[in-house]
Amino acid sequence: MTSKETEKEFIGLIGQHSRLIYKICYMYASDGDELNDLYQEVVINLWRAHEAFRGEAKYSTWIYRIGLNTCVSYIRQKSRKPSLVPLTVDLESIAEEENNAEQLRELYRLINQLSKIEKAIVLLYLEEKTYDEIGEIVGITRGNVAVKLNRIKTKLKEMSNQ
Amino acid sequence: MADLEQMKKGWKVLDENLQKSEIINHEQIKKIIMEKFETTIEKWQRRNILSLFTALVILIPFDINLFLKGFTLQAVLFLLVLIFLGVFSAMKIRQLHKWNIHETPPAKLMTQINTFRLKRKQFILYFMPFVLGFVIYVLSMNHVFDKYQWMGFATGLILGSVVVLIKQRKTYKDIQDNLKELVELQNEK
Repeated sequence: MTSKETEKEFIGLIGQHSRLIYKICYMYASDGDELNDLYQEVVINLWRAHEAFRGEAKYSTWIYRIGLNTCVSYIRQKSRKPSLVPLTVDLESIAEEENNAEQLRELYRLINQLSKIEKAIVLLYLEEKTYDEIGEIVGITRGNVAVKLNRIKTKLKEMSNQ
Repeated sequence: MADLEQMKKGWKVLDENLQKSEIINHEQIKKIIMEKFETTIEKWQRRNILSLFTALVILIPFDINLFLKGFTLQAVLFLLVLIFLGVFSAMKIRQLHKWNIHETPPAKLMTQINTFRLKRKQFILYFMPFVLGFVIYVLSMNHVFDKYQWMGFATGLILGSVVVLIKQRKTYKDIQDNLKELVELQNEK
């Protein structure tokens, strides 16, 4: 495959999975700027890893892995220049619509109570992945996924009682 | 799982909102990749220029000092190594400057960047031990450094290490926290 073809294929795949990347970043970002930065970091890392993708897993699984790894290891540098590329679309505003703002605020409040690894598991749970799939992507056993989800449930309950 | 179910509802709302908008277009994806390349190349250029400048400021007076103290052979050898490193560094700066970031396809640019990285690593691997060995030879054979200069050198080394450690501390802490959580997760029954 030529460079041009690789580039075209990659851009097409990112276009197809743009919502998925957004949701992974949404889980980890604390504000709109961070969402924008994270989104771009994930795209860059996917590009770096694109040549290594051999089609053994689904591309979406590949995105989950690289996206989650990027978000989990992402450290915001306060001194960093604002977003790498100013995206014309305001990523923060996409999720916000007046008629369901309350539900999203609640969702965000709950997300913020989770640790980085818990966020990864919850994200996959919300995406309706099976325990086996969650385990495969995160790298833990099916049993551990169940235990962890139960712990998360307890944690969220305790937090809401406080 | 009341709270998780509640989250699921919110998640569906988010999904519906996302379906209504175009998050990113092809041009933006391209721009993101190119911008990253540009930042990386600029960083390398800055680093190369700074290293070259620092090396010249520190090592040329040192070489002159060697010459003035009568260690002519060592001074000439040192100068030759210095010239080689200077030319090599200047060539790298020139090479980076010549890369056409905006017209080269990302895949080709990525190959160029990876090749550059590989060559830099090879250079460090093969050449730096030789340079360091030579510098140590020059310093130790002729007792160029007196007691106070060695103390200054050691202080500089320690201070430098402390600065690097402080800078990396946050990164390490974050990685350690994640690792700890992952180990706990693996050990849960």
